[in-house]
Amino acid sequence: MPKTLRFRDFICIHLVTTRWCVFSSPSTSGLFNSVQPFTTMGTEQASQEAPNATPEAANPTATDADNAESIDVNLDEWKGFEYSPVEFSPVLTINLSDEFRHVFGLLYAVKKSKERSKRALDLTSRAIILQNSSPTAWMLRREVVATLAENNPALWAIELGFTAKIISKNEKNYQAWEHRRFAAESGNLLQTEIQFTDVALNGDEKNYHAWCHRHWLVRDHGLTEGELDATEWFIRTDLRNNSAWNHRWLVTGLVEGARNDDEMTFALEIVEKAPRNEAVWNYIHAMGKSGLSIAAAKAKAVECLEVDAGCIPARRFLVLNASSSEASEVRKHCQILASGVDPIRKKYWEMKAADPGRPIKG
Amino acid sequence: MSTNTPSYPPSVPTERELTDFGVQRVQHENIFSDTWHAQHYVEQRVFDIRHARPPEKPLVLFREKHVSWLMRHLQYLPRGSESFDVLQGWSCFWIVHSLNLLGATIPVPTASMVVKHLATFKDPVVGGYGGGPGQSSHLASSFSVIMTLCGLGTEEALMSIDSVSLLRFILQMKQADGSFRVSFGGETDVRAMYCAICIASIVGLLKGVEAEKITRGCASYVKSLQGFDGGLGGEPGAESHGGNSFCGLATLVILDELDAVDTGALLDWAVMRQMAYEGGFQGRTNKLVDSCYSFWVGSLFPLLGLKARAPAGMSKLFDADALQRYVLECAQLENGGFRDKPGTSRDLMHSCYALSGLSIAQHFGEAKHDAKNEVKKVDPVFNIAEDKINYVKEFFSQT
Ligand SMILES: [Zn+2]
Repeated sequence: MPKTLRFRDFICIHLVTTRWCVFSSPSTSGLFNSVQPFTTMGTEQASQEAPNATPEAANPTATDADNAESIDVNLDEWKGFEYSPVEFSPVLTINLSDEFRHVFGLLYAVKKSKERSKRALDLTSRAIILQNSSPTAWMLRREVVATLAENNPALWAIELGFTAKIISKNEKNYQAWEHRRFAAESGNLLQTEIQFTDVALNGDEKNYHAWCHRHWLVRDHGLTEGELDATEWFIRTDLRNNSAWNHRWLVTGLVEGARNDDEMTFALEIVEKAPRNEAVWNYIHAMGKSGLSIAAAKAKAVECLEVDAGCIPARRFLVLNASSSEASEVRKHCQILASGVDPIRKKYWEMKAADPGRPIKG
Repeated sequence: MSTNTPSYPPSVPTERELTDFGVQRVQHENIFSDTWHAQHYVEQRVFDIRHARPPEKPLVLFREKHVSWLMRHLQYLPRGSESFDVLQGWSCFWIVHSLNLLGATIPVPTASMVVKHLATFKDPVVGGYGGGPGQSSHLASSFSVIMTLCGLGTEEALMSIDSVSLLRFILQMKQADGSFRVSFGGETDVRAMYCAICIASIVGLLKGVEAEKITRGCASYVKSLQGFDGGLGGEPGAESHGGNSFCGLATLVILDELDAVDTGALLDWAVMRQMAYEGGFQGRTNKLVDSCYSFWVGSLFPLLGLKARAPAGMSKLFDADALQRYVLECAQLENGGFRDKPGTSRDLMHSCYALSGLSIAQHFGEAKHDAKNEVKKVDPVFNIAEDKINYVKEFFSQT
């Protein structure tokens, strides 16, 4: 049976491993239905799991911590440490809670001090749970972890668990994703990162941050293995997912010989299913610009237009890829687009029609 | 179906065309997917709005409502807005810039309070500004503070800008490959670069002796962002995106480096982002319309028009009437403020960029409008009202 992973598995893996259970599982975990990420579906990558990356191993911890919404920062621990709570401002007044004012007041004071300790780490956890997007709290956390990890490298795994928790609550959080790159790189823990993005992409298959994380893994760390199959899976799940097409473009540029005639055949097969899909036509256009023959694609575009004169991306493809001898054809296509099927871009098509064969240089 | 024939502007489909349009979609795109369903849902909501509106009722800008909603937020942010604690500079910018575009005057004592409050965001150690008092410096926060001060445009506001401290911070964010981090240990992307280059340009740092240290490698970084479809992504390899395309292209305009990217391909991409039915822009291929891209994508046309030998009319290559219509009809709320799209709630950010996009439609795209609906002209590079940015440029050229 294929294993299904959820955010909580990533949150708990590292807690189980290290027995430093200061963080709860995400309070929102119920919102994320179990998924079948591509990478667990019988491909190469299924074997690349972390040793404890099974829901079974993780669940006991998750249950223990399920009731605790977040960790407590014991302010007594900070007795004698001078700070002032965040003040209310005279304009843009925000109704800040007392907890917020004290936690952040303390955090700003710790930032100014040279203290980079375990209690400072706990303080940043509390602050980040209160305010996921505080660059100050994340920056302090980065400094503290970098200091503490010198004697305790297991900390990097905890950081992956912590960022998983925050990302599960707020999938578009810039700081958490950046911190995750830092921790995975510093702790040499890159092997489960593709799977982590699978989980995030299951919630939103166009999540820009998750895709960027994946671009980073293939671009800077060469983790291209399995990515052609993965992007094909995403594309077949939603033919119009431009994020998946984009990632595929990156991968085919990195994998030797991947931009070949078979790739063109694959794209044309996808065109067949839903011809009005701009993403696939753009992909074919780019393959043509990279040197592959587009003769079959042009024939396909003509075929599509015979069935559906309103197939804008096919007509656009013919306009953008016309040879100099096809000026009158281009003019005809532009007129159809301008006056009939794509009136919102009327002026653009008219400009193209006026000067066929030459791109409009912005 | 209503028996009235609504008096749509020519660019918007008639009821009949609309019905045909729906039929066509279903007939020819019978592969349903998440993308298809989400798009269909939005089109249906826009359709409902357009049909519920009496055809004789003209589209109006609810100027007074917007002004009072914005002024209220300049004093108190609503309950549950703790997340705005790190966005204080941004909130100020969104409000001040929106008020400028609406032609409202911010009372001098209020402006003065804002200036004094923003001054407490300064980080005396590393330079620059944080998101609020005590917070770490951040390029986006610094950008929002500087742009607010420019938007206020008072002598007190502009005098409070310390260009030496900004320079110190910007140089610390510069990376070996020419890119910028947003903060110490923060992410590296084209937003960070635009924020750095934009404020450096405004306060005169690009004419200074350190200019080369700031601008080194920027153009080649932006070049590395151009995607397979011609748009620009946030980092190398990332998907083309309206906001990132704006940041990258505006950076190149400021640096006079427009040749670094294939502007023809960028235009071909940008023009496709306008939604055939809704009239507003999407930020990425096959995503949904969103009012904030009214500015991010709308501004790309005047920016591309700034290129040497660009054809006349470049800044009008989108359908400005349709964009204006989306902003006023689908994004605007009668009790003040703008939303992303029907079904979402209003917020300051979308209000700011919907109004900025409306200005692009009216002043660059020449959308038809009367004085009642007119907003002030925006500068497409800096996204500041044109009269304000001219004053600011003059101010800093003298200091
Ligand atoms: Zn938006």
